[in-house]
Order: sequence, then C-alpha cells, then structure tokens
Amino acid sequence: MRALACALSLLACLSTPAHALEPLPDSALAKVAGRDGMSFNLSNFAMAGNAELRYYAPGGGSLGIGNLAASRSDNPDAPFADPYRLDIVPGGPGRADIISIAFPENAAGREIWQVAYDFGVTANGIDVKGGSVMLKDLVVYGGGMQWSTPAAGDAFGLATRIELGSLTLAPNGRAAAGEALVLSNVKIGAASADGTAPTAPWRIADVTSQAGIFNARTDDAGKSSLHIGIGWPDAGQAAPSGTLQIGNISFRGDAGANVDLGSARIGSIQLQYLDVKFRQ
Amino acid sequence: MRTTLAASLLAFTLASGTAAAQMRPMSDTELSTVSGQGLFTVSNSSYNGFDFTRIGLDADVTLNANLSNLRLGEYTYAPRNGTGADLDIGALQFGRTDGSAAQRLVQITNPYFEFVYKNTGVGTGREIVGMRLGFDGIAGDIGLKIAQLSGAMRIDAGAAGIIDSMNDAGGGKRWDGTCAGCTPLASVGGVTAGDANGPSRDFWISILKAPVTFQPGAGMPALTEAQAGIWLNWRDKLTALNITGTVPANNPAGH
Repeated sequence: MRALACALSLLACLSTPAHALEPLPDSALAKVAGRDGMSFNLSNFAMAGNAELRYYAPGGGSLGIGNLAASRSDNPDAPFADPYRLDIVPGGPGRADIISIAFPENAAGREIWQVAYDFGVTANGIDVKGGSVMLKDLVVYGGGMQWSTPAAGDAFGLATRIELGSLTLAPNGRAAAGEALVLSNVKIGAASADGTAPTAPWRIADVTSQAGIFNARTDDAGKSSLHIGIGWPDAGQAAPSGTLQIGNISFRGDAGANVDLGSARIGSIQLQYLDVKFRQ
Repeated sequence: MRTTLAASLLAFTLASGTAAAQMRPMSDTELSTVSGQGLFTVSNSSYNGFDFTRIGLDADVTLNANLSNLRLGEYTYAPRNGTGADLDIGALQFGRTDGSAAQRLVQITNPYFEFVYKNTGVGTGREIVGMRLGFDGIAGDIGLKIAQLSGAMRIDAGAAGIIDSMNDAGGGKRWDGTCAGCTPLASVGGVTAGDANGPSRDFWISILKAPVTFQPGAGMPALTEAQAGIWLNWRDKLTALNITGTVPANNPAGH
C-alpha cells in the first residue's frame, strides 16, 4: 500500500513539469552562459592501419609517421562511468568562457593504452627507417586541456599525469624488438615534496593563472609566424612544479651485450615562462 | 605547394582542439608571406661509422625555468661510482630574476633530438646506439649546482682560471668537480652562456650504450668523444657567474 502511494506521488511529481515548460525571456536567456557540455567514451577503442602522416620541411627533407596502432583496455567494473568530458565553463569576472576537455579520472588505473607507430626521415638523399616506437601500458590519470579567448590568439591550459610501462625504440621494427632502446616505468606528474611518485596532474599551463598562448604573429617587417608560449604566473603565484621519473634506461642487443643505465629523474621542473616562435 | 599543404595539415591537426575557440583570420598580406611554415628540420648523416638522424624544432625559444634534483644514469660504475649517478645536478636554472630584465630569460635556438644508429653487419639490421638532446645555440644566465658530472664541460672562471672536466684523470666520467690546484666545479653558482659574438653552440645531453664522437657544428672545433651512459657536453663560450657557489634567485615574484 505504501509502495502504491509512493508510486502515485512520484507520478504526480513527474507529471507536473510537463505543464510548467515556458519560454525564457531575453533577460533570463542573457544570464545563461557556460552551461553546454558533452561527454564521450572510448570504451573498447582500437585502431590500426597503414596510413602515413608526412611532414615536408621547407628546407628539404621530410618526417613520416605511419602504421599507427592504438588500443585501450577498460575498467570492466564501470565501462562507461569515466568518460572524456567537454564542457563550457564560466571564466570568471571579466574573462571569456573556457572550453574544458577533461580526460578520464582513471582513478583505478585500469584504462590502459597500447600504442605503436613507425617513423622515418627522408633527408640528404637518404631514406632512413627510424624504426618502431612502442608505448606499452600507458595510463593517463586525469588532467586535460582548456581553451579560451584572451585579447589575441587562443589561450590554453594543460595538465597531465602519466604512467608508462615502457617506451621502446626498436630500429628494426616492432617485430624485431630484441634490438632496442627501452625506457621503462616512466612517470610524469605534479612534483611531491618528498620526491615520491606523482599522485596528481602537473598543471603545465592554466587558463586562469598562467595561461598558454597559441597564435599567429606578424613582426615589424610584416613576416608572420606561428607562436606558442606560456606566460609568467600571475603575481604572487608560483608556477606549478612537475617531475619526470624513469625507472630504468636500457639497451637491448641481439648481437652485443645488454647495457643497463639504471634510473633517471628530474625531481622538479618549474616552467615559469616559455615562448616558442617558429621561423618561416 | 606540397610543403604548404603538409604544414597546413599538421597545423590543423595540432590546432583541431581549438576549433570552437576564437580563430583569427589572417589577412591577405599575412597569407602572402606564409609559405611552408617551418615547424621542424630534419637531416640524415654519417660520421665515424655511425648514422645520425636529427629532428629539430625550427624555432627560437625563450625560456625561464627551474630544474632541480636531477639524477640521470643511476647505476653502479665500478671504476668511480661517486654519488651513484652520471649526472647529479642539484639545480639547473634557466634565467634569473635578481638582475636585469634581459637576464630573466634564456634564448635557445633550434632544440633537437638526434638518434644514433649503427649497422649490425647482418643483413639490413641496425642497432640503436643512443640519442641526444641539444640546442644549436643557447645564450643567457644559467644557475648551476653540480655535484657530479659525466661530460665535457669548460668554464672560464676569469681570475680563478679555467675549469675543465677534460683535465680530470678519469676523462670526465663521474667527476666530482675537484682538481689539483684549480677552482672546483662546486664553486660555480652558474654560467653565462654566449658572448658578444653569439650564443654557446655545443650544449647537449646524450644517452649512449657506447662512446660516440658527434659531428661538430659549423665553425666549431672537433668534439670530445661522448662516453657511454649519460653525458653532458658544454664547452663553448661559458663564463662563470661567480665562484662562491651561489645560485642566482629565479622566481616569478616581481617579474
């Protein structure tokens, strides 16, 4: 009986709004900003193919990347619960709205990527097959990108925390990985005070406090060029610190002995200002 | 045309995330000056039995950054283990904020990666010997605190003389910076890279499984052979900021 009462009550609640829909006046519409958003999931994503992306340098020569293969395993306990999210969020007083692309939180670290591609450089009359690059067990924990519109160009934010099982460069291809340079157990993220492995994304640029910039510039001579940069942090704020930790660097050899160069780390990386101006 | 198309496609790929953000149309005048916008430079070469493939950024980079607690190449090196790492650098600071506006930033030209290969002699097989990260040029004040160095480094300390890792009996491998009758490396709190004639032109850090002699840049003398492990090369146009071991302040306050 009580269940029936609850059901009737719920029906009454649900039926009421159908009569309450009404158009928003212009004044109300004007107050609506930064409410759009969507999410998408890459559950069971996999791709492979022999397409090639080739960059031709103005000075001659080219760089090609091809035979890309990428796949992602999922968290089977919650396959669609942790999507990529794209939202428009308010930028604060006097600031433009922000496009926010948030990567999956991946708290359990069970969304794991496998990526491989071949690369080569054609230059100086020589076509060099550089080999295959293989990223094994790439785990991205949160982070993402932001985009907004300052007075000139596009401002961006970028944050990342990555753990990579191994990065292998195999000069004779992915099927002949007995000969290779291997960087294993690579971690990138926010630096911790005690130098331990990162547990949070490193905010390399932030739209609200230390914005990155991407635009085209024209100098006094009328020449235009691409420009990427990260500005100084806002007054009174310090640039966030990141860390790079590599568990092991080694060379595997089919013919010669293996060479183990041990671990490597940069305890703290604090990027306070960056300006990259490409030439014509 | 092919170059322009490729550059455009790459730019589109890089910029695709900004599709919804404000894009500024380029004027006809601007467009007319853009042809084959250079993002990368590439080259292949051979030298002393090794093959080199270089991928560089065709760009001028201005930077202020603080790096600390670098320990690269942590493995046991029986002849001289020292602090246990090929490079043990407490501080590496690009720029300083306690001086003039110009001193805040470091200018870097054409940063690059270079891969080193060698034919195995079996079919078309090749082995990867290593790689290096370097700059065609670097100019500015760089704060330094080096506890142990594996590399070829030369610093003009003025009246205190020349500090040169090549004077080390161990050939600069896991050098603690001390030497008989000279100023120790630990006394240097930083360097000024470059001079009135241009930037320092031989900064690079390599990861190698065997010694390699890299090709010198245009107008440069022959380079010292880089040793296996992690190796830092930096000898051109370096003068000591001080010999008190004081690393200049570099923080954003008051920038």
